[in-house]
Amino acid sequence: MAVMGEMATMNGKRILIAVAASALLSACVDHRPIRNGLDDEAVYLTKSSLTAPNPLVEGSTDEGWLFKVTTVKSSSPNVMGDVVFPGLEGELKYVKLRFQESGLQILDGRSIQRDDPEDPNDDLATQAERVLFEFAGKHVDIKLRESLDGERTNYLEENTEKPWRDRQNFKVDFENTSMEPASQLLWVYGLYANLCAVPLSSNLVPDSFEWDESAQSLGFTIDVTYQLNWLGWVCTDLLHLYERDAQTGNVQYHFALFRRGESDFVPQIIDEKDLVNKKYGAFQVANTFRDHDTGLVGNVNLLHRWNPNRPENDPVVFYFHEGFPEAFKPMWTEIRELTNAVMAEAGATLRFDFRDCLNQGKDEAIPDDCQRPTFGDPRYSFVVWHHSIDTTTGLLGYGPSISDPRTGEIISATTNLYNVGLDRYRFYIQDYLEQHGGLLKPEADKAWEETVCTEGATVAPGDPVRCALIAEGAKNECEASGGESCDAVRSQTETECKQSPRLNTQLFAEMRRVMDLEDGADGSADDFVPQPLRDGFRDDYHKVLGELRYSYPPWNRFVYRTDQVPFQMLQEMQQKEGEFQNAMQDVMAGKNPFGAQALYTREGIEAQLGFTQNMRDWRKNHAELQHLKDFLFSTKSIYTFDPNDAINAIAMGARRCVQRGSGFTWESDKEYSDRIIEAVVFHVAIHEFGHNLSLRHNFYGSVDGKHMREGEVSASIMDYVTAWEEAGSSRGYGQYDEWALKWIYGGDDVRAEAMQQDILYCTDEHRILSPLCRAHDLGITPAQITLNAIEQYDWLYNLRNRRAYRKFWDTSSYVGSVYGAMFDIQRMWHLGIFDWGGGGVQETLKRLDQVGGGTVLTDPEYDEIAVDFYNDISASIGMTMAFYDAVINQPASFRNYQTEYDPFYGDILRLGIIIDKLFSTVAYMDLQDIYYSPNVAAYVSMWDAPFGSQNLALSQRVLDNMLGANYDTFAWFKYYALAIFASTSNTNLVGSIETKERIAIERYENEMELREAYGDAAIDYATRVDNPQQTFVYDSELYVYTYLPDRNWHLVARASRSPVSYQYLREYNESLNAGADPDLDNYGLKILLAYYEYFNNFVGF
Amino acid sequence: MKRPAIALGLGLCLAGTAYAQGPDAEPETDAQAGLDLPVKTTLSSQFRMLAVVDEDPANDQLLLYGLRVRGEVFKGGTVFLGAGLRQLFVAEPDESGVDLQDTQVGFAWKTPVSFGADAKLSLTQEASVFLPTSRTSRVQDLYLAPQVRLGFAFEPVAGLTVAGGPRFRYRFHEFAERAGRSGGMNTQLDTGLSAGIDYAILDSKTYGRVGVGVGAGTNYVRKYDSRESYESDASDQGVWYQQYDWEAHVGYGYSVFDLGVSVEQGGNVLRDGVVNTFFVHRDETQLAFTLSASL
Repeated sequence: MAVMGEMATMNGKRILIAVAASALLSACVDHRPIRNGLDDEAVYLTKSSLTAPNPLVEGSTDEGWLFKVTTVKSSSPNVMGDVVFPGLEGELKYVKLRFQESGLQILDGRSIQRDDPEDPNDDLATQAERVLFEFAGKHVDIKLRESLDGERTNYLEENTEKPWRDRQNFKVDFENTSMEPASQLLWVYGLYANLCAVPLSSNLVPDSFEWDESAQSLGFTIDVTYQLNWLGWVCTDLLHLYERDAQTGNVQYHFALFRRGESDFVPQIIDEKDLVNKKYGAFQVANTFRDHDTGLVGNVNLLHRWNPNRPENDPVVFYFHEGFPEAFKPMWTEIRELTNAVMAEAGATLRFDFRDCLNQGKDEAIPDDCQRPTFGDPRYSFVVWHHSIDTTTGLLGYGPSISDPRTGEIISATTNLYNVGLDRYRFYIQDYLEQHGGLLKPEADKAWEETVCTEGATVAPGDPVRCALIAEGAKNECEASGGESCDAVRSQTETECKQSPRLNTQLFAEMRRVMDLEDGADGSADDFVPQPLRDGFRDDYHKVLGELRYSYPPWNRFVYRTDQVPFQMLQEMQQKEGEFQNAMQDVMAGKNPFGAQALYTREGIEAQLGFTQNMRDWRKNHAELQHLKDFLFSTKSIYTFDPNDAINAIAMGARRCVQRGSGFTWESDKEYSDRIIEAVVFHVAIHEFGHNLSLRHNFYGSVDGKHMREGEVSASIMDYVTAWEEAGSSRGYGQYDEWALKWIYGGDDVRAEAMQQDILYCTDEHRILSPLCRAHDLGITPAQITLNAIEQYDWLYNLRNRRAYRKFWDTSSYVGSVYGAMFDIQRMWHLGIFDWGGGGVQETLKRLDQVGGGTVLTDPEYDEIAVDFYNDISASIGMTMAFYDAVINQPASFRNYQTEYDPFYGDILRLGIIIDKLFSTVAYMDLQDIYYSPNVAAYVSMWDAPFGSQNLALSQRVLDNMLGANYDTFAWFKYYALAIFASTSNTNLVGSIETKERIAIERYENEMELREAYGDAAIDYATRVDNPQQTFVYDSELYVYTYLPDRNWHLVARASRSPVSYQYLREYNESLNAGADPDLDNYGLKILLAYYEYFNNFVGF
Repeated sequence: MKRPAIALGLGLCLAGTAYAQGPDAEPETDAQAGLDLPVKTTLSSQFRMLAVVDEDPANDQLLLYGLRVRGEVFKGGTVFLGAGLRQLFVAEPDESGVDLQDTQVGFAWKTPVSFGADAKLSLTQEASVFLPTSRTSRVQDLYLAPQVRLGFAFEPVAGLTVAGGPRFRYRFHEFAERAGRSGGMNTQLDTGLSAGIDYAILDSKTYGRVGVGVGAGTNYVRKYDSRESYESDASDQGVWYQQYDWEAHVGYGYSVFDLGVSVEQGGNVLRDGVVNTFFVHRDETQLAFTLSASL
């Protein structure tokens, strides 16, 4: 037994060793790689991960997610480039996820009514969840294949044995969704975008699905194919697409869901009419709820801002998207320093930085293993340069930021910058400068960079240094040729150089003529813009501007009509706009919009009246549609860009003289265009970054001269200023921006100081109605702004009406461009007649002094102050009327009214200005349907309310010029002004009913009646041979008489009552009696008579 | 006393995983030694078929060839080597119908125990290791499979032997999972207990040896742990299977030769999640014909 015992001991040891060895080796066993029996093209979600409370916040019961859609790519050309383009993103939404039997539903995570368990009257028992959209799919368990005995394999497969609710995974089909992704960008966008294109199919972008459970982040990208909706709204350059046969296009949308950890951000509520709303524009997040106590819908506005208390050593980092141009990166260091300095002044610890990689520190070089975040991931902020020009239609920048809708804390933001073909503008610039005196290349056979120049010189029109150089050259040439008085030559040359660029075209010459200004003016704007009589005008003007902010009521969020909210009529409006554009294009092509009937017949008159009524409808629609588009873009913080402005920008930016070693030569073409482009991009970049910081637009920046620093053209980067201003102006935040940021991110003391500032502010909702709160304005006072707008119109003729540099020329934008030039400047007239006229300035200033605690002056003192206001606005209105006159009177030899085509090829060589003349006529002659402010709407004709005695005479001259029909135009158009005048002057909407008599003609069926009326002596005098004008005096009034033998009519017009008719008849008589023209007809007289009589008991003839 | 040992050995084959068990056999006794040589060699061949022949009998037939060499290193202690070859009558295209069985190398120590006058009892301890020479083991990436076996043989009266004992085998695989889409998990631990009774009807040098016997056994097989705990934290733990078998045999031996016929039935206790055992089954119960020679 002892042996047994020993053996047992030995066996036991062996067993133990064996077991130990087994255990050891057992731990070393590997698992065979998984064999995937799943559909690789499908995405399997773990349901519990998406419906469980947020694990990033300890003890959280919050099951919600934050959700965002971003447009990350599009094909090029982009068929929806006007509305959906790379970078465009939706708001951040708070959502919850719910799995239904056959779908993953994205639910609105917010409830209009809170579910208060303590309140029996406030539960949501009968309230269903609101589904935003859903993805189709199937519930499965994803597990290793298992035998019925419970043995598993390494083969992964779907399993559907359990009830669908108990299955742990959802095989989601992201491509099969109930919503158009574009609709998530903005709720109307789905409809808006689909006017342009119809979605055909969608696919999940391979490898785009990302799920990071530890970070609670899920993302994927859907690629949607659209078909251009040829029958619908044309959203982009059709010719461009046609050439490319681009009937389809693709847009990729990145969807992102994520959760956040703890935040110490403190939400701030802004009251609907908080004082700060009138002072500074910061984005706000609206939270709508049902107030249980009152039963009314309530609202809480939260300030949309970054956490000002974010630790200084943990800056908000914006990441350069891959491909961001190196040349534009340094400017972000500049922007960083500027921004962080403002934050420091505000007392905030919030800081910003710009980097390439996640694994890169501040100011560190880009690491070799640079890890970049995925564009569209809402946890990260980006700076993106969109290279493809044709994915948008003219965007320069776009600066969205997203915030937690429950708190307003900004989580991330993106500065999108678009390459809208900036490089090609150098060619435009050269072309433009060659035509406009700015580019006076000193030596034709020498490159600019090889040409010596003087320090500080530019080639800007009128540049003193350049003019001095030219004058010196003229003097030298004079001396070399043995001329005399070469100093005088020099002086004259210099004067001409300085004068030549501005305000001396034929258009301005005509304006000067009709305005009775001196001919051959010195090119100074002083001729048109009056100098203030008082030093305090600018300050008073500054005070008044704050009272001229009028919001557009349909955009108010709290009071509105539910039966016609904005966008509701979008499609109908677009159709009407299409009619307008087509009609105008026909006119441009030389077609008669009134048909073939004689204009003096009833049918002819009614055709003209019908067209006039259509014009009114079209104009109203065009304006509202434009407002709607502006609003869409403004809500998305999009910076639109008129490419014509770039030409101005660079022309005014002007080539500079730069130092090279010890000498100076001009900038080369590349240096010049690179500098301008960099400057434009910088200003766009800081503008968009301003949006990223929560700054809204401030269109008052350009009129706030009081707060502009030297070299600035606006007190705010959040203004839309023309690119010429941007390129040449100083870099950095304006005073408005600094104070606005201090208010947004500062503490109580800083905020109190900010509220004491008198910086001007107005924004998108004011832009439509407010006369001086406008985008792309240049100038501070109305007269300055008007003059610059007219000058810009004049400058752009060669590029607007000629094909110029364009290989392809889309002329469809012409109507809109001229429309803006003609009608937008009328807002100064509105300002004059509705606000500043009748003592409006005095009243406003007095009220401001009364409520502001200032010294209240006497009425005569206010009258004295108001003089400068009246002078300025009067000059502005006078310029506007003269401008219309000048456009009408432009001779065909200068700017042809008729569009010129190449007869063989059919391409347009030069667009005629018939539309310009038509719009000028309508603007001046017709009743304007003016919606001046929320409280003022009226029909007014400009000729009827010219504002002030000085303009009264001018308006009469313009009126007579237009009614006189003595200008180059189509035959059908010649008397259209008369038709409009006859129509409008016979309504009860004009101020003086006697005005209609300006075209009155007395018609007598036989001579006896005529003689009974005026007596034999007068008629005999009128018909004397030595009285070819056939004028006569009766009862101390001057008359004119004529006889139409084909109708046996005797016509009489009184000079004082009917000056237009008087002139028509007199000129007809002169021609008739001179016998100069054997074919002289009386067509004009019949028209005049018909138009008058149509509205005054016309019986036909 | 000699007795036909082949039948019992074959019977126990079914207790394990058959394809890995070919050379594995019951602890041998001196009685098996045919010749008095320092190194003993046993050659065997066995033809197996279903007891009930179906329409396609070739699928259910195979031949097993065995070689077992052992040598005594001290009194009662032997080292041994077992190898085998399996020949199928039907093979997949491009596949050989013949393949090696796992090779077993081990040491056995037999100790007789005095147990009364006529009764005999001997205990055997065996430690061996299976080497992955079979195609199946290679496919499943078996490293090796050490085995410990304890056995007893009790002969209460002459000619009647009761034998049995437990065994433990651990299988070291490279991967926990078997190769193949539906392979399942590899076996990690295989432990079993078997017992049998033999009776020598005739034991004559002139006429040879005739014996009959029955045997039965069961074993528990543990599979490796799965890689995932999908339903619960415990759901990745390896499963245990129970297997059973029985056999009855009759053998005849003469000189160094032995001839045996057995009927055998065995399989998993749990089939498709349901306990399902059969005493006989037309698709499972097999006949085995064995011829061996011990030199």
